[in-house]
Amino acid sequence: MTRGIRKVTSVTLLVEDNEDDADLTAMAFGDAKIANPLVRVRDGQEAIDFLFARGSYAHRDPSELPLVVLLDLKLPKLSGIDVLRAIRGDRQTCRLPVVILTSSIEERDRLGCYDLHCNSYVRKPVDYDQFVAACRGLGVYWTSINTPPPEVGS
Amino acid sequence: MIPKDRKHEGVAAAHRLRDPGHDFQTLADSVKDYAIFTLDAGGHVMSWNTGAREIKGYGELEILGKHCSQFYPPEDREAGKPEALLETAARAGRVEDEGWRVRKDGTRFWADVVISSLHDHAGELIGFLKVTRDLTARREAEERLRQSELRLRLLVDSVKDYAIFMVDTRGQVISWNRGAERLKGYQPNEVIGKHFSIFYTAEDRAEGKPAQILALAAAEGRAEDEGWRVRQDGSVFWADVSMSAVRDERGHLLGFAKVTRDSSERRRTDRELISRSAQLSAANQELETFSYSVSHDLRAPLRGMDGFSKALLRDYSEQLPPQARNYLERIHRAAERMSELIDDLLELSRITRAEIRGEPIDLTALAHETVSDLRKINPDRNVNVTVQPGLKTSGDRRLIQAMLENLIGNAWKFTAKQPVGRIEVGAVRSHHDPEFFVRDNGVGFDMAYADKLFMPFQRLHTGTEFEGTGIGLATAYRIISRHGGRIRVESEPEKGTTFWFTLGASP
Repeated sequence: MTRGIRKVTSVTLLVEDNEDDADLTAMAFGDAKIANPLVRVRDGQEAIDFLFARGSYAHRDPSELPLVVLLDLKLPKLSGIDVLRAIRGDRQTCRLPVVILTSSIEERDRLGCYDLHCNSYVRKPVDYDQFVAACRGLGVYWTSINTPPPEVGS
Repeated sequence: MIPKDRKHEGVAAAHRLRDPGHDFQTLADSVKDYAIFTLDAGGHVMSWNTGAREIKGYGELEILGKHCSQFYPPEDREAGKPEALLETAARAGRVEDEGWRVRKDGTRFWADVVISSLHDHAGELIGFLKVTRDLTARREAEERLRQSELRLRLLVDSVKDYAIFMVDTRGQVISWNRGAERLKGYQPNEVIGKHFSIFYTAEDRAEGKPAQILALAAAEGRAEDEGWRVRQDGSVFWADVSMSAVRDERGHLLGFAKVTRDSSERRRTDRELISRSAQLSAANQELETFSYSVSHDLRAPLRGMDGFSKALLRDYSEQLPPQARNYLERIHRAAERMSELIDDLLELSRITRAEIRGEPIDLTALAHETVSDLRKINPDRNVNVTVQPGLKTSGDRRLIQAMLENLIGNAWKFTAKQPVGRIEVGAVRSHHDPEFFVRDNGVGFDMAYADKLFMPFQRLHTGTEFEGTGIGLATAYRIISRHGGRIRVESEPEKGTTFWFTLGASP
């Protein structure tokens, strides 16, 4: 593998431990007509393994990065903050767009995430219709409006 | 007894007395601070110096030949003191006396008197030399000192809450006040002469603490200590001890003054305070962990309820009878309401934990902002709002704003059924702090329920009449009490409601 070369794929990586929330997010993405594939991992450690091609994802090409990471905060093993820190701390992944998708609007969560340069912080609404609207907004923004970082970086 | 008036003999004797002493008389004359004069054997004045004139007030001429008894106060004359002194001087060669004497003008002075007998070559008594010194000033100073010492001793002795005592340079107790008796249980006779280490615990004695504090006080002038001390009955108390070195004018160590206070009570309250604040911070920590978990975990199941009931409606709509669709709609509403409750509860908890920052606040401007936000949300409402200009306070801007939003929002909500809602925000000045008010002409309520109003989740109206979670006023109440203020309410059904509040110290 070649460090510093990244290939941005069209995959959206969803880091979510709650089955219901994962299914609802998938449903909402469908309802919002977002065509990009959604890959789901169940905890912080799995997210790290996926992104850095380790453990059960050792076969993956680590230079292939998702288009955007939707990151829950309260996760088993490694928390969302730990995952964000790991992403920002690695040359390969430091520019990867990360959207925090969580139930919490606690000040310390928001501060922690913005301090670690998350790209966006979205609170999951309880109302499903609003949730679909949020997912649609996210999908449209990160797949069509936003321009990802260049594939070759320093 | 020596006869009092023997002038004719006296003159001759004076010559004899003066004769050998020309030099002496010249010398004596130069002395101003001592009255130096001679008496004949019978006690009559034979010579007189400058000091005698100064001290006693008589000129030489008016006193020569007079009997010395006139220098004494009447009570001494009656008691025969002048003669007795002369007799003693004649017999023993010298007598010393200290006592009141009388000046020419009748005033008294405290005198130190030495009378020496004078003899001729044959050894026969020829008279007396009398040296008198005016000690009035010294006596007065001594008296003042004695009085001040007495006052100090009474003062020290009357102190009951502090043991005040002295130890000598080796640490042996040399004085003991009432407070020491009370505090330590020893009577003065039981403790004076004992070493002060008896007040220490065995461990402290073994560690050499008593010697250490003496050494420190000697070196530094003063030493302080806190620790367990032992009473006579063996019980212990927590003592606050101060030991000061006492030195004379030349710096020689005379001993140590020791002041001991029983601070067991203070120690107990201090420790209680520490333990309370630890408990409080643990409780706060727990509350924070709790709300963090609520914030993250309690909403996910609601999203599930709402999302999957919507999915049912969407995917299986044709298979569902109207009743089933109604149930799903109610699940949706219940989830929504629960979500609001959680948010309000978290807000209440955040306010309870929030650190209060103090800054000047323009309450008038904040009220206008709040009203303009409400107008944006409900543009069709017809509400007449007046805000008194120049309302100022100090406190945490974010919290005060939340409080105003709750109170004005409350007034906004409960005036919904009036054709024209009226809301008034203002203040009256009572004593020093202004008492602010938010008044409306809304539905009001029966004052019998007023005490329920500020408790979380208490509502005086049903959800179908007016929506709300019942946390708004509890939040306002908590914000106001966290600012050291008070809130009260006046209301009448169908007339309206006024909330009155203070915010502690005004800017």
